[in-house]
Amino acid sequence: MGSPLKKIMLCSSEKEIFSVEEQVMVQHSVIINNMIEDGSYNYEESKIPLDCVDSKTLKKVIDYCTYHTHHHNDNQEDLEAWDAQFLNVDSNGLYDLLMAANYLEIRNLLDLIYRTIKNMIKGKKIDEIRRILNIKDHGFTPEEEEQNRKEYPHFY
Amino acid sequence: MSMVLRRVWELVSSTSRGNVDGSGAEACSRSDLGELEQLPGDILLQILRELGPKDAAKMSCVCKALRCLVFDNRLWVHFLQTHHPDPSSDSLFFAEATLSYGYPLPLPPFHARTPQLSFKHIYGQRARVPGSVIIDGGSGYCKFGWSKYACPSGRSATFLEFGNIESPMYTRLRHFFATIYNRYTHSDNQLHMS
Repeated sequence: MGSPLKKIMLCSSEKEIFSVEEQVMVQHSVIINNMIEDGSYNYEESKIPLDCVDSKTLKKVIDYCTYHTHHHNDNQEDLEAWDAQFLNVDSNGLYDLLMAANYLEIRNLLDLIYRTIKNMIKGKKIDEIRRILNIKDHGFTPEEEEQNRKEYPHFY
Repeated sequence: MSMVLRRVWELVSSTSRGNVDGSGAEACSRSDLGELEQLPGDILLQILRELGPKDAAKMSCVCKALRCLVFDNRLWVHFLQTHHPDPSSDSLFFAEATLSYGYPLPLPPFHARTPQLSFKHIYGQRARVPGSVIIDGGSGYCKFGWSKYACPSGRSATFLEFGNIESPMYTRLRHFFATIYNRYTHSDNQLHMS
């Protein structure tokens, strides 16, 4: 664990550089924690290139990590309300966040996104799920689709 | 020359595409997953895990690409372990691969002959197993069967077999046990004998 005021540099896919408190990222991202711990990060020169994370998403990820570092003592309800507000994004935004959280291995953000997706899908009918996930071509032949509907009528 | 190459390429790509249509595993990747299309399989699998067995099973009807993922044994082994905690997955595998064939047990090496197990199917079977097994061997008259309640009661038991001293049922009983015993070892259901 580094000292709380040390800063590290993150570089988005657009080559925009974000300066973040080391502590914030180390606490949340397994990947960055490993980088700092094994000494492969040089504070004077290095920046961590995140080629598959765009600036908009990276900013959100940093917001998330910063908030959860500084507010981890808040009561659960407030945190959940903040999380819900944080994830109030369109499905593209959610997708980008999911990929970024997966890449950086930010466990609690990943869990939050998984829960959100779960709540979008759980208990819904097949046609609704297809609409939510924007699936236009389900890939089943008409016979297979018919068969599914017969076999699992309660899903439809 | 380049013309020839292109033709050959077209031929190869069209026939390989034709094959993909026919083959099960590869056909999985060909349907439209919409927003989820580019998600790595691991992430999709994690989402299915979060959904739990019922909704995950439902996802198999949403589209073909998801169907293949839903049938992934890793998913159902996970559900078996979390929803039906078992002391060891070895015993589960032994039960499903060996004991489920009933009596007599196949001789080792049975693994070589074990067909591909579908843990989704196994999960479904285990989820349906009712509450308790009843064996009633009073007054020279023997019967055994299922009860949907955790404790047997005269009203609710469904008896599978009846027998008496003239119609021996020992082998049938043994077969019945070999099939179901393991399903009870992992749960807190009790085996009631009277």
